[in-house]
Amino acid sequence: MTDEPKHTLNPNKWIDLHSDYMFNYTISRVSNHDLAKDLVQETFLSSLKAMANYKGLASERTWLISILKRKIIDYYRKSNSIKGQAEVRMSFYEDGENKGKWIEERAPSTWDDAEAQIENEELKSALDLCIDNLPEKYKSVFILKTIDNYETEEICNELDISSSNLWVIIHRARIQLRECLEGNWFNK
Amino acid sequence: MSNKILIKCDEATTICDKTQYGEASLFDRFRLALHNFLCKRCHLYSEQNKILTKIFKAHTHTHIENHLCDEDKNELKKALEKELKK
Repeated sequence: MTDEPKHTLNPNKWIDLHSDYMFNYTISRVSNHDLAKDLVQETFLSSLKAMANYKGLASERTWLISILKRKIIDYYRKSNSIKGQAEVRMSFYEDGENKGKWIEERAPSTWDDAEAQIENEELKSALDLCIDNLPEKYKSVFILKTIDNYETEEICNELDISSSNLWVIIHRARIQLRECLEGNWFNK
Repeated sequence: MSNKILIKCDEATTICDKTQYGEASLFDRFRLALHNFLCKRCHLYSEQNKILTKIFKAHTHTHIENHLCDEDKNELKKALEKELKK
């Protein structure tokens, strides 16, 4: 049986081959140009140091991205303080006889023709903007869960939050995204 | 979360979110279905939540739209070269 051909690393080509892809990956997760650039740079430098551990099983890009993902999670963990961040407006009454019910102005309105628009490229731009407007702590959890498809348990371990915290955050993020898309796209 | 059959909108919408990720229990899904039957707003929320999930899936693969400018790339190259020389 022949050996599987192993991938190799070629640091001299990293920036030309991979920097745009890595930058693009990062900026949709941290929203800040300079920060994204810094994370990409740190990734390249760490990758150089880690070259001895590369076994050639993953492609060069996959390997670099895995190191970048680690850097992004470390950033989320550092910037993710649960206390003291602006709360999303509540959508449900917190007390009184209407406790738990929708606040009138926050209740969903129908979306015109929504199903037909799902693939629309301009909707993607609206979505990017809406994700960008999420408070930091909601954005990181939402991205890890919904876009990167991490398991609940993994996110809780990485960011040191409970699973009920996580679901409250996901819930608020989705409600805010719902409203943002409703205002900026569906019912414009 | 409460253990009652009848739930309020805040709990219903949270369960609905969990179903989008496949993480709601059978009992939760039953309570949600019952609530949605009785509550037009949450029924609408659930319909829209499914659409949201489709939108997220459709639009969150990485497009190469954001480029680093040449200046930024040269900066990176310099930093990398410096490290390689060590």
